[in-house]
Amino acid sequence: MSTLVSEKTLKRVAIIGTLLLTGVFGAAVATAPKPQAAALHPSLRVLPAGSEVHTQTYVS
Amino acid sequence: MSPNLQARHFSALGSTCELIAVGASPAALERGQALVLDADARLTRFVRNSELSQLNAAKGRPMPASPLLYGMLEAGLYAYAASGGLVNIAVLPALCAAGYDRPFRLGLSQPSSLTPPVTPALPEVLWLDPATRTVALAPGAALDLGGIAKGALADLLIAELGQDAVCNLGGDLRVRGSGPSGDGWHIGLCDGSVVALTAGGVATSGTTRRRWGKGMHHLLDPRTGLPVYTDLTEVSVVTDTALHAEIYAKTAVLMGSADGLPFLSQRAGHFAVVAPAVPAAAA
Repeated sequence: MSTLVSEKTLKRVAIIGTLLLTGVFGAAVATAPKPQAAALHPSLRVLPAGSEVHTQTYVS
Repeated sequence: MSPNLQARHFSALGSTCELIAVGASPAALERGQALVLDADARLTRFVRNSELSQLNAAKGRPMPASPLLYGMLEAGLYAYAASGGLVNIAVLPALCAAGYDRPFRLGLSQPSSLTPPVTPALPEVLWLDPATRTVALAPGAALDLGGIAKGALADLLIAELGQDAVCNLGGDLRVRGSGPSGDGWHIGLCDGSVVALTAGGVATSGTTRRRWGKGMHHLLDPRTGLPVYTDLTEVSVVTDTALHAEIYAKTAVLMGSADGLPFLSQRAGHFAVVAPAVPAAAA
């Protein structure tokens, strides 16, 4: 019996399919917005170490 | 520092309190201090005839509540719901069983045996009637307002101190205004970091203070009635109000890092954590 599609053709199709999927999903990844760290509230700013302290929170 | 800076430091609520304001009159701070002292007298569990003690001793009888106590009990119910039951002001019987049955400054002793009573679900033992401002507490239940009172009170009192002030009640604090440096009030957090804040609340919870006996401390897990075993020894939270900061910080410590840090990430504006390399044994 002869096969309808040769093994060589199947390999070519598989490679092309892989390349197409990589292209599609690669593009999707490339265009997706990058996750960002949650922004601090505008009323809050982290100060450099050693900054002056006006008051302190603590366990009481 | 601004020349218009006014400050008052005094003892109340079992802690040190600090009222600081830019541009406020000394009378405003004096009034703020008087309100804190009045709240302390009403809400302490250590004085027999305080309003809270009367509720704890009412054996289920409904009693009229002052607006202050009513508001604090509402805050307690809110804290219970917001923490999934972990912040529970009905933990007082377990706290007394653990040895914390008198003011901390008088010295506490290790209980000879520790079989903690079961802490009830708060909504099942505390009833509030807003129409008559009447409250009732189930017989056998007893409340300790603790940090909930400090946080909720700081939120209430900040308006008394003017437009640019800090109300710091034992480490639970509410802030508004640009502070003496003009860029917000600089608040030191539990890990040594410093934030500048122009509006919001900050609180710290943990297991490092109010310790006695062998590994006993004041932060009880209502699920066990015992001092919590946790890998977060201190948590500071910065968020919109002091009450929220108190609830979130305490909940995170009670949860431990595995659940507590994701909990904070979803709620807090900013938080700082002190965690030992090896979890500290509670007992």
